[in-house]
Amino acid sequence: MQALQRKTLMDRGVTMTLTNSLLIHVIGCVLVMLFAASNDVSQSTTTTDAVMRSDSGRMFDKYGALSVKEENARLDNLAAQLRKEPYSKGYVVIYEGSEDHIRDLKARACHAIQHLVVRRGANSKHVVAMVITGGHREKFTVELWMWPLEASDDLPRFQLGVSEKEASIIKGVEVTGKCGRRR
Amino acid sequence: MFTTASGSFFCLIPQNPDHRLTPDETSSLRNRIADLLSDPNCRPFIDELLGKAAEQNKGNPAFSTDPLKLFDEINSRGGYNYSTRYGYNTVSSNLQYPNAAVLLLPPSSFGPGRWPGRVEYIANEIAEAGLHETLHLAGRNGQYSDEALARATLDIAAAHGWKLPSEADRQKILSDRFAASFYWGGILRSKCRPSSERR
Repeated sequence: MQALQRKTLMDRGVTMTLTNSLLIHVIGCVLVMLFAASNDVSQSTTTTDAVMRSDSGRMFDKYGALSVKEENARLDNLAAQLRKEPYSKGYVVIYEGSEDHIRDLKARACHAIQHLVVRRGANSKHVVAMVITGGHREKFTVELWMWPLEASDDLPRFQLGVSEKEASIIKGVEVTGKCGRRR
Repeated sequence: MFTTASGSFFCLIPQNPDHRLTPDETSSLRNRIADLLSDPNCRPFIDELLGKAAEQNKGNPAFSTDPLKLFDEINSRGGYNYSTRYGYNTVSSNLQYPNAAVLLLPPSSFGPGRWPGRVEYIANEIAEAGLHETLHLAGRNGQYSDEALARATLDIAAAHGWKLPSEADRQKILSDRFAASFYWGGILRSKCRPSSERR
């Protein structure tokens, strides 16, 4: 009988030890979560600023005149990141250089979009190309930008106040046929 | 997404996608922002921009017009953080509060590609974004929004005779936060270039 009581008490003791251990663990978890929340700098505060967004996109890449192979590698990198960020839009912005004479800018823009959509499977609604003339850059320059998906297709025009007539947009959804020759 | 918190084997908490820059990363970012500010066109533009933003936002004067003082103040609060939470660079809270912070996209958000000059390019891009976002937190009593900074930039452009957007484009800049950000951010970039691009 005594042996049985001792066994029961031991069982209870084990149960109590387990219960205490679980309780301590739960308290520990709560403390960890509270600590994590207090360190979460982007959690809302009581100010309206916390919900007022000040967003800026990123110039993902920038380059000048490259071979087709080199440019495709840069576009592949953009396509890879667009796949990782389905809520982002990719822009290929081609600036005519005022000091050089690289031609067929629209064909280059078209090829870039075709490469992203047809060869790399980027969502055609998530990519836009823009050709900007008017001497906004001294040299031929390609800028790859990423902005949130809700940004307008003509957004790159606003970077330096480019007028509507200086910009041509080629949307991903429009690129179905051949692009013309790129020299 | 859930992950285990370190040191708590069974404890599942939401993964925090933010992480504060290490002291070395912070110091490197500050140095690169200082490099942007060494462009002779940079500080005069920022002085004017923040002066105009303060003038147009009564009750919210600039804490300082010196971006490095602002940097140090932010760093003493929520600091500079890498965050993939939103998919763009942004800020949180403001200088009235101890958690004012800048959230920057990390180097990994520039894709897996590797070629010569890539690391340098990304570091400079993060510095450009760091300067841009720092200026959003320049107000003593609240953020300066993209619209506020774009409005100030449009006034500065008019005063200096810089090329102005058409009236329709001005309206869009003042009503579309992305266009506003791209407009004043584009002028900021053109005034504050890294020394490697000024040679």
